[in-house]
Amino acid sequence: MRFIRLIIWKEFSQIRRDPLTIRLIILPVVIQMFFLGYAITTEVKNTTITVLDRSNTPESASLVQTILHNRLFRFAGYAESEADCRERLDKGEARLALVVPADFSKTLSAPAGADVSLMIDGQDANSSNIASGYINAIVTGWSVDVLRQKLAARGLRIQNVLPVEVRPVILYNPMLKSAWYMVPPMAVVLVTMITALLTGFSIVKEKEAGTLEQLMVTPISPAHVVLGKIVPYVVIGLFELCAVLASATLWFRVPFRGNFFVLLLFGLIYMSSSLGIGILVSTIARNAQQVLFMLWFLLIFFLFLSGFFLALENMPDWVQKVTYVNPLRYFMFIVREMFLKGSGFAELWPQGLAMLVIGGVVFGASLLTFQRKVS
Amino acid sequence: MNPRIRALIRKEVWHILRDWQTLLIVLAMPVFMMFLYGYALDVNITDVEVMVEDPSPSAETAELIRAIDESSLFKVTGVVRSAGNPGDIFKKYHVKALFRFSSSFAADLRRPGTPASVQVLIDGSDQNLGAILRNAVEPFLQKCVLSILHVPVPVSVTMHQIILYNPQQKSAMYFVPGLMVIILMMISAMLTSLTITREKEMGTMEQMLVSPIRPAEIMIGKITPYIALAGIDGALILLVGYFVFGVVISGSLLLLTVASLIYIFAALALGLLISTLVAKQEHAMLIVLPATVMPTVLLSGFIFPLTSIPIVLQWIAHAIPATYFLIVIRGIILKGVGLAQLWQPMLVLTCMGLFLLAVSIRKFKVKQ
Amino acid sequence: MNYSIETNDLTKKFGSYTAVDHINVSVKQGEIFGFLGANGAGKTTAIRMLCGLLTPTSGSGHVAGFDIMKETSKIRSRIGYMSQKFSLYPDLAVRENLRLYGSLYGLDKNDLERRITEMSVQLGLVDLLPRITGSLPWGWQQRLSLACANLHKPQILFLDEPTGSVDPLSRRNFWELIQSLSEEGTTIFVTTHHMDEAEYCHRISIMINGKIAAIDSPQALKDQNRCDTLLDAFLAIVEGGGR
Repeated sequence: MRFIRLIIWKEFSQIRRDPLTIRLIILPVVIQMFFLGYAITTEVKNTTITVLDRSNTPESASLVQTILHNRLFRFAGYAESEADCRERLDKGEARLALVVPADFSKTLSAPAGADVSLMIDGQDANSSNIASGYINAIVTGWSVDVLRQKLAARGLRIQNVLPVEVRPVILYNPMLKSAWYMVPPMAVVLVTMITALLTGFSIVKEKEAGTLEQLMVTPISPAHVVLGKIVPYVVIGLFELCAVLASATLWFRVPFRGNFFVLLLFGLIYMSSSLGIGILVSTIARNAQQVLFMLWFLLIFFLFLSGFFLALENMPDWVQKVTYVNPLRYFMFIVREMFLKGSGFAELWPQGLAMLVIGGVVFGASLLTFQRKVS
Repeated sequence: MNPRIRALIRKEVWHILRDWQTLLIVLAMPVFMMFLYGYALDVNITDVEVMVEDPSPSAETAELIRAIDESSLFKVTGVVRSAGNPGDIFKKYHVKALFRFSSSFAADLRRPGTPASVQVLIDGSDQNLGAILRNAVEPFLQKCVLSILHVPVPVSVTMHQIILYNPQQKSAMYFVPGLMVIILMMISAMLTSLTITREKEMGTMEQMLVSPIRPAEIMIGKITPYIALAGIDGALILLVGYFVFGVVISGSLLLLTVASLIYIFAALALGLLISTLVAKQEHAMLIVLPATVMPTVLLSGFIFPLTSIPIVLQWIAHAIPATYFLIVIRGIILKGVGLAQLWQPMLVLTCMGLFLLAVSIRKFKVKQ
Repeated sequence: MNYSIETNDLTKKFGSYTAVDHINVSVKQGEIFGFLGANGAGKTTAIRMLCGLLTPTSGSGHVAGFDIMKETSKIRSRIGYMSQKFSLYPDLAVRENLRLYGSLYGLDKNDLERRITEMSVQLGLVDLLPRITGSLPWGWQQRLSLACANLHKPQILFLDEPTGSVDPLSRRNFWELIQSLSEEGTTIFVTTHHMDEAEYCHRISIMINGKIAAIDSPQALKDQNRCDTLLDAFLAIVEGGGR
């Protein structure tokens, strides 16, 4: 125990003497939070759209205006022909082109209804789909309005034709702000990066400098060294967690509905995995560059399969099975549920347990490997 | 070529070949990520787990529930008579939506003029899914009910989609260019950012500075071997894209190669700049990821469209090389356009690379 | 007389701390000059200024006839430097380190091969050429360091603690080599802690707290301080302010 305290004291002294590292731990956090909170948005706004209105009737004008008035779109001018539409999309002047055929008004009153076409720049499949979904919704809404008017003219109410009234209500994130979903998981990313990278790096540096060897000839055991080394980084990791919590709630105004100490506890459990990975990598790597590359490689792998960018439920089954061993997945889930739903132990204990098991295995393996490599 | 630069390039190549672990990761990472994107991240929103609250079960509600379950979009994991506190249902069962039929649903349905009411509680945590569900539930339910009642859906306007440049909506056409942008930036910046810092820490930089070699020569000598390495990565991505995912380059391969090399050069110069500014490797490590990879992933327009992000971030986006390269690479691969349309972003990329290199050389002080 | 190395009140301050305080040194071509002093006396700072790695705060210096402040590029190709920290590439082979430094100093292919052979023979590195540098014992790495510094036949060799922790036999071989280089006309500017090595020098200087406290031949210093060994003379000067 005395040995561990010695190592802890040494680590803290080294860190304290290195103010740039401290600044670099804080500053990127702030910057990244800022970036992420604002940049990560799956809301598709300001999509440029050009319109080719061959019909030129009050009806077609009404449809076009309804679309253009929507804040989600930016009008890129009228097109002269379909070739013109095509060219504008080629040049990137517009992402969408709405083509209203000449017989629009006439076919509107026909039983089959009217047709319009939407040319979509398919380069970015994701946002194109969403944008076209919006247009579809607007067109449908406009179309229902027309129907309502037609029925009213015949003395009927729309309810005669549309038998169901649907009232969607959004829970937990009523304004559907993407920051609420993406900012809290940043805690996971940052804690992982900092604890794994700094720990791995610290060990490799001592390996290279020869000071590790120096420690090993003293009565201190490898386990003491590792345990002593990780303490400062656990502290830093918890600090990161709080930093994210603070900026999420204070700056982005994401509500935190859970229990602060429970979050810290889960964070601690999680760190057994991230620290363990850092230690494992450092025993394999020869120098700092290798540590960086290996950890980054692993991080990408785990990050993409954690539900950060894309929801896990939508991935193929076999992929989902793989994610069961991914500690990031659990912590991310915990963070999101705690923030938005206010879930606590009662609901999240399975995830906590999974993290504990994984963390125990990883950390234990890393400790064993470290001991073996050093002796 | 200048013999000193040649000597330095030779030395760097020796280093690269001796460090097989890093080399392995550098070559394997792109391939690996391609497979990840191609197979694992095949995202289709289907079988969204939902529950139903049905206070007065009837033949109609049963049929409606079955229709919901049989649809590709939803999967009904449970039906309850009373939800109690709906929040508990969401917290406990992790469903994404709860359909709550009114207690007089069946009766209202049979009576013309009175709409039957359904409240849909949607978990808005994942706002992407939340928005999709919110937009989808009303038309979906209308259609279901109408088909149950065997009434044709009244329609006024149908919209047809014509998708250009990527008609089969192959997701590979979307992520292959994007991965090129991200991976090349990542690998390049990570490689060069540590290389100079490492030599400073080891003391070998001092040894070089005492020799006749000039700072500019050091920089050029250090960048050149990594251009080749990153270039191999780029080629790997395109090869895997072609052979495994069927991504065909519509435009000129030559133009693509040139553009990629310019981008790699700019990315390497950026990494080099970072490493001239710091003296210790761990500082370089802490800077490089948020300074290069983060902005590239978030702001280049690959995942999140440029027009959707706040104006300030759009300005920043226009200051990073990735944004321009994405335009070029998408243009060549997907649109098949050529130099005539792409000379502007390519010029910007070249200028950025040269500027970054020049700043690195200036910042690299020989004397203290 | 043209001196190989000449300084005039050369000074370096770091903030309020004066590391090198108005030193005046003149070293003739072919001389072996021992630059002695306690740890922290300012020796490494002085050498780094002479090599063009550090800008002096005031005073002037000339190395190989060129101004150390304004003409450092001309100086570089004429000097060789062996730093205190062993700074060759540990993951490269011995031959590769030699090739690298030779090329950096402008040796063309034929000259390079010839000089590598000459230096490896002279320093006993022939069998070690294919070995990875980092795997060699410290003493051999020191020899490699010297070889790399000398490949381009510089006019002046700056050696900072070149025989750090090398065994006595190797140290003697090392100094024999230095002496033969000196006889060939190379000026050797060397710092060392080993007093027995200082005896090999033509002249030595002793630096205390950034100033040069004494500068003369080893024998003269011993005589002036009435000591039999240089070690005693050194201690007398450093501790007692002797001459």
